[in-house]
Amino acid sequence: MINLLGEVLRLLRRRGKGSLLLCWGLLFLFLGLLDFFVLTWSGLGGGEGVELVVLLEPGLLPSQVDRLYLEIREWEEVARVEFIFAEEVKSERVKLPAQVKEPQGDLFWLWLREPGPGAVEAIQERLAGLTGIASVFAHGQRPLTAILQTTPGARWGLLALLVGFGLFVLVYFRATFRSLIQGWGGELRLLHLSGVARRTMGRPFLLLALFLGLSAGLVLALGLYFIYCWGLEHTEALYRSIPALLEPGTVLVAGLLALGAGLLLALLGGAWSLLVLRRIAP
Amino acid sequence: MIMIEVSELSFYTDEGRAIFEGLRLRVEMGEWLILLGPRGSGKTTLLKLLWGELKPHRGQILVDERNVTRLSPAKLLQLRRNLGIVPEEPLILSQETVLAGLTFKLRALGLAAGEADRKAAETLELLGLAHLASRAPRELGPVEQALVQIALAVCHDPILLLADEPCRGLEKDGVLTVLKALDRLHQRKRLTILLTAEEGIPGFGTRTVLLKDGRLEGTR
Repeated sequence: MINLLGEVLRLLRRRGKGSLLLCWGLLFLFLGLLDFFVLTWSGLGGGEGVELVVLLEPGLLPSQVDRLYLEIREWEEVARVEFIFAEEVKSERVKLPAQVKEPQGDLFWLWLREPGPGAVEAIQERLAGLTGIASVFAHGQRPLTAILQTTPGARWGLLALLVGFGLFVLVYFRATFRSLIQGWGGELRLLHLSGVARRTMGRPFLLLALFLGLSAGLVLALGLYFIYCWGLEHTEALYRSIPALLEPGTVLVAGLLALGAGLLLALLGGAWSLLVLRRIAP
Repeated sequence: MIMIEVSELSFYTDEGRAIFEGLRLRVEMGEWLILLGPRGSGKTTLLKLLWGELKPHRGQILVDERNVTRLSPAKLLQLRRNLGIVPEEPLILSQETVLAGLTFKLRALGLAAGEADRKAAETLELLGLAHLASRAPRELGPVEQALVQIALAVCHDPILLLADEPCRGLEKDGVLTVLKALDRLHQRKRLTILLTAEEGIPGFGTRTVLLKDGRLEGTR
């Protein structure tokens, strides 16, 4: 039996490559937007995003630093704590807020979890009271997702954009595949008159559509994984954009969602375009 | 033995106009029947009913002793594999060569690549098209195009050829070339042929019937 998918791919080498690539690109873009939406409203937006830079006294013993770290990490208001060597600041691997002068010792960087009014000051005082801490600075830069979360109408605006763009991708997907099928109309009519089932004729087109959906989803999922790995080294930069990408579970869910949505959209677009076969092979 | 038997066939348009009412037709095995009729007389409809693309409102159609009107979709596809069909609208293939078009069909019907190549070349030879094997289908002239349509229909050795106006739009010389090719097929392969045309073609076919106002009028 002839490999119809191979024949369709051979046809693609001659024409239709460009629109199929564009189709893939649009699908990828949509999945990216979908994941961005999900990651923004996944509940890991970074709260209000207030951060504290805690300068430690120079010459602290590692055991003292450990004790402080473990104690602060347990505080309810603290979302994350990072230990940073003074050398990292000197070598400019870590950039401190302008109000913090060059530290003499190592430091902690704290992210607070949705602090209420006056809570930041209270935590600052509590920190300053601990032995081994030289000074505490509040730093108010909020992550991008936290800004979006508190912007009125942002959620609905992004959701509307997502739905609209999704529909556009679906329609474009259908149009591309429909034109591909029609471009092969002579062969399909010949197959129909020769006793080949419509189901068999449609299968290579559906497989091609599913491949597009799967590959777009897979590339995005891998992309998210690489961002996550990169984020382990550059926590601060990632925290300032999409903090949810620091959570392995969320990254996994977003990757799976991209795969599932890619496949679903491709299946819908492909199946919709196959309706044209009813006219070619009644 | 009877290849086609149509009895009490009725078919109406969506608006309720009768195309056929109580039509009867019998084609013997090995016969070459030419079905004449003006445009709109129902020739294409009759052929589509024979290969099962349309369903009649009444009556029975037997093709190769199988009742087309009652066949399951799978059985209908099976029957079509034994038919050679030249549709009214020519099949314009995107394959790079005429030979590739024929092997495409043969391989889709389950033949191995080597056998498909051999059979395709054999068909082109029989129809006098061997010199066109490596030409692109879109570059052919009208007569060559008509012959390629026939080659596509018969390359898998069907038992019956249903050709819907294969000579339409051709000059007299072109019509003769096509009919001579069909004559060769009829004689060498003992193929049963049902061919439709608007005008009479003396000297070809074993029988000619006229389809007019939904009825078959006489035999010439």
